[in-house]
Amino acid sequence: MSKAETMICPKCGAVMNCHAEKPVDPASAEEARTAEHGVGILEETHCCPRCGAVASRRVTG
Amino acid sequence: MAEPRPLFIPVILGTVRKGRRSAFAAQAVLEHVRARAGVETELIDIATLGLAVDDEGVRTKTAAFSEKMARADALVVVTPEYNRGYPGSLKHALDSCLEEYVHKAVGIVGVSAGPWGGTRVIEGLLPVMRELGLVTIFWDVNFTHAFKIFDAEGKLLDPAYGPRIEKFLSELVWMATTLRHGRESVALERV
Repeated sequence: MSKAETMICPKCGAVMNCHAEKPVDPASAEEARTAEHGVGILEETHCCPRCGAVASRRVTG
Repeated sequence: MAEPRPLFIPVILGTVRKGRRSAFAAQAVLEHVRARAGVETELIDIATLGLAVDDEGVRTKTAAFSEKMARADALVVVTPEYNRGYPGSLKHALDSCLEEYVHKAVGIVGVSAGPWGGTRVIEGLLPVMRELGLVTIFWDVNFTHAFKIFDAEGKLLDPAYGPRIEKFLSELVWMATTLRHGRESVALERV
């Protein structure tokens, strides 16, 4: 997902807040091959301000 | 204005060993958490999670534990000190989640049969917590001489622990409240 895209809460439909980008281990050899060398693989974490739900996704672009 | 959601601060019992005294420690802390206004809690016994042991990390995730970690605003992790380290079963359980923990508070309760009350296992757990995305507090609870400070039914015999647990929880609740605000309302500047 692009950094510019907002995330919608899968539980209540509100726009979520992105509060973290965390370096993570690759989930596969393919992902390891395509990782950007500078910062590695990042996962952004979002929180719903309405219901508190948590969601995350890989950062691309 | 809507009533704020209560904080959810589960207490994780971090050992599966038979005869574990950490269960008594976890129960003692749980009672203090339960008494807090605006806080919901429950005991999570890692012995009951049913995690697969033929794999590692998030591939062992179970829906029940994941949902509780996602709902949590903070964790209390009760860990015994085994050979100066944390139980492998605790690490295995913690590693089954990741996104659920990010920017949430954690307080650690150490338990040992000797005089140090798990200080060494707590030091060993701090970098693990950091990597999981959890935010540690500076108060710990150290249950020393675990075979002496509880009676046969698990009642804590030393009243000095009460104020220590309260100090620990006060900081944990503050951190949980602050981090919830941050997670929900303060956007990360993405570069």
